[in-house]
Amino acid sequence: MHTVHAGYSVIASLKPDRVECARALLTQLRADSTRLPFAQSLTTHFATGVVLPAQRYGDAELPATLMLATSFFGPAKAHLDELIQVGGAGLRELFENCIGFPEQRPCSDEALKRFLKSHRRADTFYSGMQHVTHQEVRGEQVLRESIQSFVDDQQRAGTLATGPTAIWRQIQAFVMERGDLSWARTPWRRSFADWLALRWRLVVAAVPLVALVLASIAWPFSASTTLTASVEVGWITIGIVILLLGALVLAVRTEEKRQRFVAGRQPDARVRAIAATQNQPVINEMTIAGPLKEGRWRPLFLRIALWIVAQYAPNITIPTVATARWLTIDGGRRLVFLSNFEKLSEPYVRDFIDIPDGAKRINLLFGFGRGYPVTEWIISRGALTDPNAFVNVVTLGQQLTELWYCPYRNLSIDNININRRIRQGLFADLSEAQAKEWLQLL
Amino acid sequence: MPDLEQDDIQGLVARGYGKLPSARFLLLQVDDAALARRYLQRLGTQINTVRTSPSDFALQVAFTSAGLRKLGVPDTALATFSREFLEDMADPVRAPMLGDHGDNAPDTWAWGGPHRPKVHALVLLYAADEPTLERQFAAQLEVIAVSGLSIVAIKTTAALPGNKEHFGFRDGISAPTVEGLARGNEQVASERWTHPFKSGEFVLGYRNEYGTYTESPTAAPVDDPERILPDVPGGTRRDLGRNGTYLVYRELTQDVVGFWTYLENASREPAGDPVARAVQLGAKMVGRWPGGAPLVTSPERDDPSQSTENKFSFWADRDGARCPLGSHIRRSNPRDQLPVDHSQADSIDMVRKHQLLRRGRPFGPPVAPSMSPADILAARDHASPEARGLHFICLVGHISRQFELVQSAWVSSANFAGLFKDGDPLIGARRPAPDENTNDEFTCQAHPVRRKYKGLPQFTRLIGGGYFFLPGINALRFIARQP
Repeated sequence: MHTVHAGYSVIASLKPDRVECARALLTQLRADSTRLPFAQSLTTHFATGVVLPAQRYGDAELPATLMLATSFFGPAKAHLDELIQVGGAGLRELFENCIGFPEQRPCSDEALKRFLKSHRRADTFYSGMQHVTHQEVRGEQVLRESIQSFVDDQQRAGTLATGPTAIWRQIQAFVMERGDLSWARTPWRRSFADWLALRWRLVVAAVPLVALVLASIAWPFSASTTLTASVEVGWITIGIVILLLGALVLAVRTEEKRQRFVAGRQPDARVRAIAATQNQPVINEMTIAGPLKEGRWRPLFLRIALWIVAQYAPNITIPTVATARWLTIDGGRRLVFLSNFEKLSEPYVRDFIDIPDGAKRINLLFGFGRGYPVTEWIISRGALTDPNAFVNVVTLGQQLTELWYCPYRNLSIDNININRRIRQGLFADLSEAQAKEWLQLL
Repeated sequence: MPDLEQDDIQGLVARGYGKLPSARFLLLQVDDAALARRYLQRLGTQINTVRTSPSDFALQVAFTSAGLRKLGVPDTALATFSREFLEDMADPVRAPMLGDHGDNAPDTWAWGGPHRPKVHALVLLYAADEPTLERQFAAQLEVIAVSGLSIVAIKTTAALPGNKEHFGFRDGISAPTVEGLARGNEQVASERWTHPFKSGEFVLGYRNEYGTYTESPTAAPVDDPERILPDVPGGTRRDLGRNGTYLVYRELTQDVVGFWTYLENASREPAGDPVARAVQLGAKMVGRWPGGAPLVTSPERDDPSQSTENKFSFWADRDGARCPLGSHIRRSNPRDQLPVDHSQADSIDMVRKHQLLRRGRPFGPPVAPSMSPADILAARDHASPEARGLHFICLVGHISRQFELVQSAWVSSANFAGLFKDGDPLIGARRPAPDENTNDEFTCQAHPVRRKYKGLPQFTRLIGGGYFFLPGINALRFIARQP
C-alpha cells in the first residue's frame, strides 16, 4: 500500500434553508470531537469543514456550499471507508443539509459512501510532508526525543563517544536496546508503489510523447506507412495543441484588459474575526473561496494550469506549508484554496510574494480570482506590482473555517521532515561525512 | 534615489540622536482635546526634522490610535490607518500572536495594558546633557499642565558605557541604512543584504522594497479645507501618512543577575574559567561577543577590531556551528539565510522586507558600571534593586509585515529554523513544560554534536507597550488643527 499524501475534497451545495444550520453544526462538531472523531482516523492528517457562502459570478449566483476537505495518506478508498467507519453518524448529520443527499433514513453506509464519492472534486494538492503517515509523525517524534535525551545524558556523564561515526554508532546501539523503537531499525525508503501513485498521471501523459519521439527517431529507417502516418499525426497534433494554447493565452490576455474591479481594504472587524481563529502557535488553517474574474476562457486556462501545477507539485518544497490545495467548483467559476500552514495568515500570504518569482507563481494560481490586481500575460504585474491589493483579495475571499482538525500542535513542517531524516539516516549506510551531517539534525 | 522631504520628516527616522545621550519619554493622555491641539500647534514648530542634526536638544512626538481619535481626527481618516495600529499591541488577538503571554501578558503591564489609563501621545525628549534635559523637561511639564494633558508615565533613560545594553553586550550595531538617509561609506555597502533599504520601508509615501507604496493613511478633502496635507498622487484624498511612520514601543526589564547566574551555572562543564565559559555561552545566545564581534567572523574570542562588524553572512554558517541558529541576532535578522530550504537569494529578498529601524534606549543603573561580565557576576549580590532594561523602540512602515512578523515568526517561535523547543534565549517569553509548546531550551549547534541548555528562565519582562504613529510635520499640523 502506498503512502501518498493527498486531498479528499467533498463539495456539496447546501439546501437554501440549511446554510446556517450547517454552519452551527460544523461549529458543534469542532467543539465536540466525539461526533466526527477525526482523531480515530489513522489515515487523516488534517481536516477542514467550512460553509462557502453564496457568491456572485456576473449575473449568476454561486450557491452556498459545504466543503469537507481532508488530507490523508494511502488509497482514497481506504480513507473513505475509515472515515465512514469512525465518523459515519457525524458525516450523515452534516451532509443531510445538502442537496441530493439520500432521503432514506437512516442513510446506509453504502449510500453515504456513494454520495461522498460522487461529490468528491479533483484538486491540485501540495504536501510538505509527503509519504509520512500519521503514526510515523508520532513515532518519529518519539524516536527523536529518545535520541535527544540519550545524547543529553551521555554529554552530562561525559560518556559520549568521540567522532561522528562513533557517536552515530553509540546512538544506534541505544535504539537497538529499546524494544519500543524496534520499528526504527528499518530505514524508511520510498517504495515503487509510492512513486507510481504520485506520478502515474505524468507517466500516462508522457507515454504518448515518448512513443512519438521514439517513432520519429525510427521513422527514417522504416518504410512502414503506419509509422509515417503516426509520426505525422502526432506532430500535427502537438502543433495544434501548441497553437490552441497560444490562442488561449491571447484570449485570456484580451480578457485581462477588460478588468475593472480590484479588491480594496476589507472591513477590519471581519479580518480580525478570521485572525482570531488562526491562533495556534505552530500550524493554522486558511480557506479562501471566491468567484473567478468574468471571461469565457479563464476557467479553461485555470484548469489546465492547475493540472500542470499538480504534476509539478511533488518537486517543490515550501517550508512553511503542510498542505495546500486548489480546486475549481461551480463549473469552474469559483476557485477554492485551502491550506494548513505555519504561523499567521497575513505573514504567510506575504511570504509568497516577497520573492519576485514567487509573486509570478501566485499570479498564475490566484490571478484569475475576482478582485485580484490586474495581471499582464497571466504572470506579470498582479501581486508583483500591487502587493497590497493581493493581500486585500486574499482577505476578501478568506472564510471563517468552522471545523478544523489538526493533531500536530507543537510540530512544524520542518520538525516533521527533520524527524523523518533522522530515522532515514539512523540505520542507513553512512560515511563519516554523512554521519557528521546526520548528527547536525539533532 | 528618492528626494526625501527632509523638512517634513521627524528626525528620529534619520538618527537615534546618539549625540544626545540624555533622554526622557513622556506618555500622555488627552483630557481636553481643544487645549491639547493648541499645545500640539506650538509643539509643531519645535519638532526636529531630518534636515538638521541638533547638538543640544531634540523633541519628537507620536500618537496612538486612541490619541488621534481623542484629538478629533475624523473617523474616515482614522479608518485608513493600518489595522494593527488601530487595534494596538495589547489587543487580545494580537498579544498572544506576538508571544506576549504569561509574565509578558498585557494585563500585567504597567502601561498600555487593558487595565491601565489609555496612552494617547508620546513625547520624546533628547538632550546633550542632563541639565539641558532637566530644563527642557521642566518647561514641557509646565506647558503640559495647562494644555489639557495629563501624564500617564514618565520614562527615564540612562545611557550605558560602550554602547552596551544591560546584559553587557554592545548594541545597535546592525542598523539598516536607508536610501536617501545613508551617510558616508554606508552608501557603498557591497553585500546585498546590507544595501541601503528603500526609504518606503521606514517612511510612508516612498517606494518600498516591493517597488510599490506601503498603505498609508489618508484624509477626505472636506476635512482639510486649509489644504495642509498634500494630495494622494493619482487619488482624490489627502495624504495624511506622507513622511510619517509607525513607531513600536516595548518597555522591557532585564534580569541581568539572573542571566549571568544562569550562564555561569549552565556552563560549568567542562571545567575552565567560569567567567570565560559564561561569556562564551552568553555570546552563543546573543550571536555576538560582549564587545560586539560577531560569532560568524570571530567564533573563538571577542575581537575588539570587529566590534562594529556588520557585513557578515549567515549563509557561510548554515549549520549554526559558529553562531547558533536560535541565537538572538539570527532570529531578529536572519540576513541572507532564512533557515530551511530557502536559497541565499530568496532569503535576502524575503529578509529585506522585514527590517526594523531600532531607536531604543536603556534605562536603570547598570549592575556593574564597567559592564564587564566578570564585574557583573562579582556585583550580583549587591546589585541595586532598581529596575533596569530597555525602551525598545523601532520605526516601520508596516507594523504587521515588519515588526509583528519578526516578533512572531522569528523571535517568539519555538520552531524557528527547524528547532523544536527553543525560544529567543534573550528576550523570549517562556512557556515552561508541561506546556505542549514549551520553548525554554537553547540549542548550541556544534561538531560533532550539539549541546542543549534546558529550563532557561525568562531574562526579560515586557512591562508596557504600544503602537504609535510618528507623523510628518504637515500631518502633525493637520492633527493639531481646530476642526
